[in-house]
Amino acid sequence: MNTQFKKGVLELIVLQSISHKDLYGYQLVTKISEVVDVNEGTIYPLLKRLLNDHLLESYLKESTEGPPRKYYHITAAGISKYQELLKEWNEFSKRVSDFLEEENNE
Amino acid sequence: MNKQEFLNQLEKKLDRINEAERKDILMEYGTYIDDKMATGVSEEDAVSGFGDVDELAEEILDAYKINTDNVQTKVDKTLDKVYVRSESLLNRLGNLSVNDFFHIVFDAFVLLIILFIGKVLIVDLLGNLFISLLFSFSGGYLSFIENLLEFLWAIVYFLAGVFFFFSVMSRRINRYKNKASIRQVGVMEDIKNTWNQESRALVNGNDDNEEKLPPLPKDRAPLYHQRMKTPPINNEGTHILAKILIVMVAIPVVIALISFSVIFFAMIFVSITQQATSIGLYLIFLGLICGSISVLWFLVHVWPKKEVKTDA
Repeated sequence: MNTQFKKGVLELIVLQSISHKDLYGYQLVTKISEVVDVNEGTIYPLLKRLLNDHLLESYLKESTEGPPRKYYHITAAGISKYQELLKEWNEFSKRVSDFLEEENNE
Repeated sequence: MNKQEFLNQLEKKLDRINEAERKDILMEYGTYIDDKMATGVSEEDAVSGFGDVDELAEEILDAYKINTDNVQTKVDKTLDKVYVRSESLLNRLGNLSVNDFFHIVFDAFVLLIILFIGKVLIVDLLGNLFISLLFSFSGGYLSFIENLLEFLWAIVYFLAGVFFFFSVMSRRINRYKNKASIRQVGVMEDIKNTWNQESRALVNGNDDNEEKLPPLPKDRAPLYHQRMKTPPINNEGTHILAKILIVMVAIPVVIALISFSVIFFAMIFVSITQQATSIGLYLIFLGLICGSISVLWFLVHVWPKKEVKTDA
């Protein structure tokens, strides 16, 4: 899949994955890799960016094995951003698929 | 590459990020690798999932730009904005670029230095020296008039300097607007041209210096043998004002030169007949003689060119 394509939707996918439940890094990556094939290294910079924009917040939580894990939690701003992106995505994908269908039918 | 090697490499690449943040990043990647290995993946495979360390580091730094390079990028952006603004402003004012603007500033600087040297020579050295020399015979009774004359002399020079400055600079700016001719013509040439033209215009009473740009290099003064063939141009009386000015300046210099030389030789005579005195005095007068000779040399060079030709 095209990398530029991926980058655009990745933010939406991350926000979607985290919107129901707080997750830590590894869980998040495995969840995202279910949808898109992404370089595991690139998720962290993205999370950092979302933290800086205050769309996510993070906290440390003790785990049963090993050191404490950093969990990510979506903020109110993150939720509204998520809804905004989702709307944009739906409109965009609808328009693209409509266009493709039309062209094929001609 | 095992986990520790990977983390070490990454740490080196991220040295621009502050320590607390960097530790946080490394911990995050460390636990990530641990988590992955817990699912049965080998250490090597877990690390290789991140791909190239350089690219990864670059991406992380990119995400951190908001923290690390914040001030830098802001300054860059402001500078860019200022540059673009001034470029468009200069474009609107005339057909100028920022580069031209800096050239004009430099030219103005050169011109100011020349005018300052002129001020030191003409006002401080010659004017004041000559006037106080004149009034030294009065025995100090007319010091008020002496000061007034010195002041007027300075004012005259100042006004002439301002006028000269603006006419040279307008000529310069016109040149920069007509981009084509600028490369071959230096400031000094324009200063010379302005000097010749202004002195002519002052005498003739008409401003013929506005009508055209100064001649381009192809119209430069002809070579010596070409000049000999063409009959000398008769512009008698056109340079009179410039000549009067130069002569006025030259008279005190010549007087000073003569008196310095007389004193110098008198001192040599005295030191021969009597005991030799301080060598510093000789040097001072030698310096004064050299100084007045170089002022004279300068005045000869400033003498309106075409007149020199007709004289020859």
